[in-house]
Amino acid sequence: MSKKTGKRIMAFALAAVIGTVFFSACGGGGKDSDNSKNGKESSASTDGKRDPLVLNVTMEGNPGSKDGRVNEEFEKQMSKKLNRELKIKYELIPGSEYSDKASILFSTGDFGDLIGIPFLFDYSKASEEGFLLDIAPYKDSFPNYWKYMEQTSAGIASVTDDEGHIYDVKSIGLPRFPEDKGMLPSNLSTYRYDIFEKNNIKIPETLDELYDAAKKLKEIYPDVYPVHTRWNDLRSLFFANHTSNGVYWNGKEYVMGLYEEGYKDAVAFARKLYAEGLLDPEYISDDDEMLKSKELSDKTFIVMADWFTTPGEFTRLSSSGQVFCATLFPGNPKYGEEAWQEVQPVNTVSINQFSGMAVNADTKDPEGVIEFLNHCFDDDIIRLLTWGIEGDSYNLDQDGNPQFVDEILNAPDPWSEADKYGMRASKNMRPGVILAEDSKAYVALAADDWLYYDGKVHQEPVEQSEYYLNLPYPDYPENPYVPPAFEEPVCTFDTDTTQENSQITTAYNTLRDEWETALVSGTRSMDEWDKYMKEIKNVADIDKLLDNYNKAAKEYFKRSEK
Amino acid sequence: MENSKNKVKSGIGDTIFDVFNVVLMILLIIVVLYPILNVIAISLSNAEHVARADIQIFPKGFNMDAYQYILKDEQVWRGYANSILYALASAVCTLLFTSMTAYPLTRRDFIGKKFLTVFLTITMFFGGGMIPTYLLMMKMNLINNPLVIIIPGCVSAYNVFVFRTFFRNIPEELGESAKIDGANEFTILFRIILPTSKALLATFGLFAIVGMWNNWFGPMIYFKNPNLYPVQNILREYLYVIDTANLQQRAGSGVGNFNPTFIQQISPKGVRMAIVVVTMFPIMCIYPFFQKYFTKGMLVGSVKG
Repeated sequence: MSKKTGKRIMAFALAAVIGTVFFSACGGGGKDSDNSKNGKESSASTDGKRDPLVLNVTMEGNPGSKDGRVNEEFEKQMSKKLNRELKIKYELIPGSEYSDKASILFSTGDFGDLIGIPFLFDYSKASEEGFLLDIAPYKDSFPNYWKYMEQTSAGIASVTDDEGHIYDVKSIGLPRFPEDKGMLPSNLSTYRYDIFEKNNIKIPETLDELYDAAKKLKEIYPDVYPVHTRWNDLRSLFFANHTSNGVYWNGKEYVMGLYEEGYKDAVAFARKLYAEGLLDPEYISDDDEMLKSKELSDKTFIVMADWFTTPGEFTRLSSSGQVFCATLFPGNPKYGEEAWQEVQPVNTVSINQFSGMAVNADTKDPEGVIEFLNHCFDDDIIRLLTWGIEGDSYNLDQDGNPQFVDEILNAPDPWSEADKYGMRASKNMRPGVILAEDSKAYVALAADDWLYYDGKVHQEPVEQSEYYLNLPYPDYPENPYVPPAFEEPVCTFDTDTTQENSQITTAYNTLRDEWETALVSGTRSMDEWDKYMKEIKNVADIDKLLDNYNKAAKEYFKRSEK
Repeated sequence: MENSKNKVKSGIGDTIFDVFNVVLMILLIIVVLYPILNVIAISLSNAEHVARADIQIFPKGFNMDAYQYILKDEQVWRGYANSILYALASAVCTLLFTSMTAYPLTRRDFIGKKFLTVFLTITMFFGGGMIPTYLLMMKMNLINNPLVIIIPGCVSAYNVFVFRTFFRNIPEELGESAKIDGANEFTILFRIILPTSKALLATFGLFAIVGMWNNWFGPMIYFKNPNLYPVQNILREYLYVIDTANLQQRAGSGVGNFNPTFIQQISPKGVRMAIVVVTMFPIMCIYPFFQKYFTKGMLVGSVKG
């Protein structure tokens, strides 16, 4: 090859590289040209038929989860309801990235007509920047949302800011339990039922019984620390003593649990367990993996506070006959007939704090978007998205309640089988835009738990358990299991107050954790309690924190009255 | 005879040193190898043994469930193809544009050399931040375009200075004699400078490949189309799904998009270890080929003259 030819080839290659860079930057593949700028100018055309509604929806999901007949049926039915063709373009962001990516999208305004709000995400900046549509003026066009929100304990006031704006379309959970009875705690105590039964030890119902059981287990298994707890804290002990180790709502106002006698007694009890080698010293540092390893390796037999379905998970995992049973937190008669439990609002319409939607302020057809959202709360749409298509994935029983078909219920893996039908109650499918869920569908597919009550273990899903379905309705203070925080107000704060609260809370939390650990482990004496309380007051302005919370509570009640 | 006369006699001290050296190296090998073997063993063990944390260097309850879980999805293979493409493209672009930036800085008669040097130096210490960068990419229509993770990062100021220092060590006479023969600067760069810089190119090529192979943050921010994701993002999602299913199965309150029986079939830790093996395997395969250049190239630019 001559030098000249070589030069030409080199020049051509370089030009090709530079040209590729230049033209790809100028060409497509960048921001969707109709991203948030779609929809249409007018919703009516000259021949009376409405123009199509094209929505760009940015939300968490897996691309494959939009395939399936339920999603097709959803768009068909919504088109009918809207009296116009509906086309939804989904921008599905994997769950692992959604929180990080959504932060950027909210900060830059680069999202579709609708965007899912991540769990606990502070969208106040985005609303201040004008990226989000205030839906408060659309109340008359959005009756379904208002209807459901008013049925929740928090009410529409919980999503309304001080200036009356609403930016968040919260997801709703329909009741799973009867509206007049039944109680579902999400945290329970776990006990190794096979060990207890083998050694003829009673499953504890009070803290004293827990202590006695732990002592007996220690005598039989001297190398084991019989007691542990999840989340590195002593919440079950605080609940037994009707208090908390932080700021909490006592039914009338926010107070500081650290100042209460119940908190001191709880710490003293934990100290006693520790001193006698009953409480695992690593309770303060073990993560979920370590705790799982200890439970499955017979290195602990009592987990004072646990997720209510974890015992079932471990029992199914074990191939050596280990039985992990769950039961309510043991109580302390000194503070009440029963311990408080971590009760979930499953008897009424509830807000699903894990998800919500916001509308892009730049959307060209806000009325069309609101109309679409309103229909997402229709009963038939809720049922379609959650249960699937009648006659296909479910049928109605004699009471008119949906029941999954036998092919799903009797499958070795019901969740995977349900994927074939395409509805929400499956392993992978997330059809449509789900703003309300009938979680009875999940209960239908729930796996067995091992529950201890009435003196024996029952193998049944906790949400189908007659025991839990017949506990009293969670009403504070009538139901002794229910903490007052179950009905606490929804406090909202501006950015400055949020920062102030965060600083104070971080300061006292850090000191509290140090002192609690020192007192429980015996490094510090209980005689230093007054010193502990003094240091808490010195390191953090607790009065200011309580003042902020109580003011926010008053504002919430005022909004609720309007 | 002559060889035996010149051979250095090793005394007891040398023997002790050799023994100590070998023992130390063996210990180091064990320290380095044990975690890798442990990772592989966990990835091939059944969920119960993984949960009990009683696995050392051999699997218990051998099964390939974790690998099947990860590899049965075509998205993983697409991710692999994307990762290979981005890694190669990144290496080519990095080497090409960095050398083209560094070479003029070695020419004494290059106008604006000092200004460009200062300009590049400033970029080593200051950056626009994530949001302004995102907005810039958005304005340039690079969002959802693979070039967004290849082009902006391919010329790093640090790399330019290392290249510059290396090029300076190449005798100028080579370039001058090429000029006499009619070569222009491009010819000198591509036919004289770069061929004599193999160690440099191999080292930074490997850096670019490894850097792009491990890169998940850029794709996460800039890609909206999941078909563009590299394998790291896809495997990260697998891990998230299994961890979330684990968490939500425990939460059990209204977010039942989990499969309770699935949890005990596949251990999250087993999947995590399988992900480690799957992602490090390709790099482990190419590293031996680059090793000779890598050892030499580690010191490139550090010795002048």
